[in-house]
Amino acid sequence: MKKLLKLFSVALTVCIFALAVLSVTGCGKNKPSSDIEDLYPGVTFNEKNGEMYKDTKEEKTRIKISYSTGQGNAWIRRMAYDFLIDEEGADYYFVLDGDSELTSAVSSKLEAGVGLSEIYMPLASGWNAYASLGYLENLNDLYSMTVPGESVTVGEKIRGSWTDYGKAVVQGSLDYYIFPWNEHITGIVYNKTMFDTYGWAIPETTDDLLDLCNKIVTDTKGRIAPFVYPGTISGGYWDFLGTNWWAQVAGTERMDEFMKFESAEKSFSYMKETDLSYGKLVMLEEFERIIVKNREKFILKGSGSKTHLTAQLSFAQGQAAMIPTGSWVENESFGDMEDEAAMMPTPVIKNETLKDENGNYIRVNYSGQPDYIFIPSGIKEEGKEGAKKFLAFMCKDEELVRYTNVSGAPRPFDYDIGKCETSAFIQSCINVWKDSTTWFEKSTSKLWTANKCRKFNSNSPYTYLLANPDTATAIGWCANELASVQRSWPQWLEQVGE
Amino acid sequence: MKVGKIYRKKRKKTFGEIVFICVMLAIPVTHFCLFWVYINIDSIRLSFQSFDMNSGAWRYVGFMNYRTFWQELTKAESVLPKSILNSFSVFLWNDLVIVPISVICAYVLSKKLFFASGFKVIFFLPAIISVTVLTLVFSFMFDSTLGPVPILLDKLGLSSWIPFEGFFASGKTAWGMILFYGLWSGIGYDIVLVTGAITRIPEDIVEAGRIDGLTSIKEFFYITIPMIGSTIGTLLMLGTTVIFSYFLPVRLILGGDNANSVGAGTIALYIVTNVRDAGTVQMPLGAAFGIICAIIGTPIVFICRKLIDRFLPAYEY
Repeated sequence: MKKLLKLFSVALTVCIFALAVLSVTGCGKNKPSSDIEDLYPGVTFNEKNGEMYKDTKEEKTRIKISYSTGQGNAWIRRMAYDFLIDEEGADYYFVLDGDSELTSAVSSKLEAGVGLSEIYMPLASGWNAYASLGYLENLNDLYSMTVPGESVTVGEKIRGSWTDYGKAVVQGSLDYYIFPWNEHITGIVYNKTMFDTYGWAIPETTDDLLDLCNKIVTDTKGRIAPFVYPGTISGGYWDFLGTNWWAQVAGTERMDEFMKFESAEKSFSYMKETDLSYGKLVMLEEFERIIVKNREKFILKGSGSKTHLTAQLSFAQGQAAMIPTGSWVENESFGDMEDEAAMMPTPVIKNETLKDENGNYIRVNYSGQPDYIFIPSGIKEEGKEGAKKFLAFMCKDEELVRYTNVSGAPRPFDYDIGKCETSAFIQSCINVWKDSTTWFEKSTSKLWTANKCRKFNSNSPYTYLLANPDTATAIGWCANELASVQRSWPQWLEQVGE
Repeated sequence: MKVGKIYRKKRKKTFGEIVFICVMLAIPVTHFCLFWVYINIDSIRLSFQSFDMNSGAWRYVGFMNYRTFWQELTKAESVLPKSILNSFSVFLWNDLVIVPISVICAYVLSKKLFFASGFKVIFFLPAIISVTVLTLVFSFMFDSTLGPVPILLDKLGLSSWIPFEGFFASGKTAWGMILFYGLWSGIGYDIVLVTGAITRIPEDIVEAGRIDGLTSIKEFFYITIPMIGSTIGTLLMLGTTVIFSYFLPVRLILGGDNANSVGAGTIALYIVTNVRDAGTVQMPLGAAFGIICAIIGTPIVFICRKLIDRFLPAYEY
C-alpha cells in the first residue's frame, strides 16, 4: 500500500507540474497599452479620488462623471480640464469616477437612487426601461442648446443613426433621454506588413475578397489562414461584415423600415427584392459562398473556440492575415504586435444597381450598438444644468477633434476629423468611417425595446452556417427565421401588451 | 418509572440582557426579512406581472409568464430541454465524480506523503483565483493554435482529436470541456474541506484498527468515510444547488450564444442571457422561471437530504 501511495504521489507531482507549465505557457505575453499621460496646468487634479478643480471647489457645483474605462481615462480628464479653464466651467468642479463594471452596475445604482453621479457613460446596453421608469433626465433642451462658440445646436451637429436613437416613448411622448458618446468603426482589419510583403491588393468587391483568400492560401502554402474570428462571441464578429453587406444591398432607410417590426411578414419576408429581409438573404448567401463553403481553407483552425482576445492574439502573431473586428482592437491587442495593421473598407457586393448617382458603391459602417451618455433625473437641478453645459461643451469642434486624438475614436458629430492626429491604424479606421454612412440597430417598436424581436432571431446565422456547412443554407436559415417569428409573433404581442 | 414534572421558576431577564438579545437578533432577522421573505414574496408577485415600456407601469397578466415558459420549453428550436439535461448532469458530475475523487485525494494526502502540504495548496489555488482568470487560463490551454494541449496532441500525432472548430465550439466536446473545467477548478475546494474533516478523526480509533489488522483500504471505507460522512454529505448537498445556478464558466469559456448552439447551455445560462441581460422588461419572466425552478428543486433537495442522512449519518466524536 505504501508503495502504491508513493507512486500516486509521484504521479500527482508530475501531473501538477505539467499542468502548471502548460498554464503558464498558455498565457501569451500581451501587455495592454498604457493610458496617454497628460498634464493639467492651472487646475488641481487628485488622481486618487478623481477630483479636478480650478483654484478651489468651495461654493462650486459638483459634476461627478461615472464612465466605463474601455477608452482609458486620458480623454475625460482632458475634456474636464478644458471645461474648467474655459469660462463655461467657472462655477463647477469635477469628480471623475472610472468604473470598468459600470454597464452592469448602472441599473442597481439608478434603482437605489442615492449617491447618483451627474453624468453616466455606460457601454452599449438596453436603456429604454430606465427612461420608462423615470430614471433618466429629459434631454430635449440639451439637443436644442447652441454649441458654445458656434452657431449650430447640438442636435444639428449629430450625424447618422444617432439623430433619433436617443429618443424613447415615455407616457406617450417621444423625447430624448440619452446622448451620443463615441462611435465604433468595424470591418476587416488586415496585416498590412504581410499584405505589402506578398503584394496582396485590398479587395474592392466580394469577388476580389474570394480571390484574395485563395491567393493567401496559395502564396503561404496554407501556413497563414486568410481569416481568424472569435467564435465564442455572439456571431463571431462576422456581423461587422454581414450587416455592412445587408445595409449596402438594402440601404439604410430600408434597414430602418425593417427595424419597425410592424408585422412578421413585413419585416422578415425575404424572397422578393422588395422584401425587407431580402438584403439579409443576399448577405448570408455571400457569406456562405465566400466563407462557409471554404471554411477549412480560409479560416484558422480552432477559430470557433476563440475568445475575442485569443482571436486577436492569433492575428497579432501572424497566424491569420485578416480578422473581422473594430477600431478598439488596437488598444486591446496590438501592444506587442510587430507587424503593422490597418482596416480596409468592407468589400462591396458587385452589382451595378448598388451604386449611387456618382457611380460609387454605397458604403456603410455598421457600428454595432453604441455606447451612450445620460443624466439621471434624481439629482439636483444645478447638477443637471452643469452636466448639460459640459455635454454641450464636449460638442465644440476643437473638443471633438481632441477627443478623437486622445481616445482614438470618432464621435457621431459633424466635425473636421481630418485634423485629428492619431496612429496609422486609427487613421485607416477613420478613413473607412469618413467614406461611409454609419448605421446601427434602433427602433421604438415595443417588440424591440422589450427584447422580443431582434435583427436575427432564434440563433446567429453566421455561427449556425459555419457549424453546419453541409446541411444548413442561407435561404434555409431565412425560411426558419420567418417561420419561427411568425409562430412567436402573437405571443410577443401579448407579452408586450399589444 | 414515573417521572414527575420539574417546575423551575424562570428568571426574569434584565433590561440589558433583553437589549443584548434584540441587538444580536436584529441583523439576522432583518437579513432574513429583506433577503428571503421580501425577495420571495416580490418574486411571486412579479411572476404574475408585466412591465409596460410606454407608461413605465406594471400590469397584472395572470399566468402569462408561466405560459411563456411552457412555449419556450416546447417550441421546435428550443434550447431549454438540452439545457435542463446539462444542468442535471452538472449535479451528477459533482456528486458522482468530483466529490468521490476529492475524498480519495484528501485521504491519500492525509497519509503524510512527500510534499503533501504543497499539494493541498496547489489543489486549493484554483478555488481562490478569480473565475474570470481561471476560465481565461483554461481557454488558453486548449486554444487550437496558441494552447499547449493541442500543440502537445499535435506533436504526439493525435491532431485528429482536435475538432476543426476547437474544443469549445464542437458539439462533441464542448460540454465535456465544461465538466472537465468543473473537475479542475472544483476539486481543490472539496479536498481542503475533506482534509479538515479527516484530521479530526481520533488517532486512537485508527491505531486500534491497525492492531486488529486494518489495511489502508479498509481504513478508508470503514473508518474514514463513515466518520467524515457529514462533511461528504454537505459537499453532496452543495451539488444540488448547482442545478439551477451553474452558468458562469459556461458563459466565460463558451460564450452565451455559442454554448446554446453547441448544445452546452444550462438553465441558469438561459435565464441570464434571456432575462437578466434584457433588463427590467424581462424580469417577470425571470421571476416565473425562478418559481418553477423552486417548485422542481425543492423536492430534489429534500430527497437528497433524506438519502444523505440515511447513508451518511453524522457521528459525534
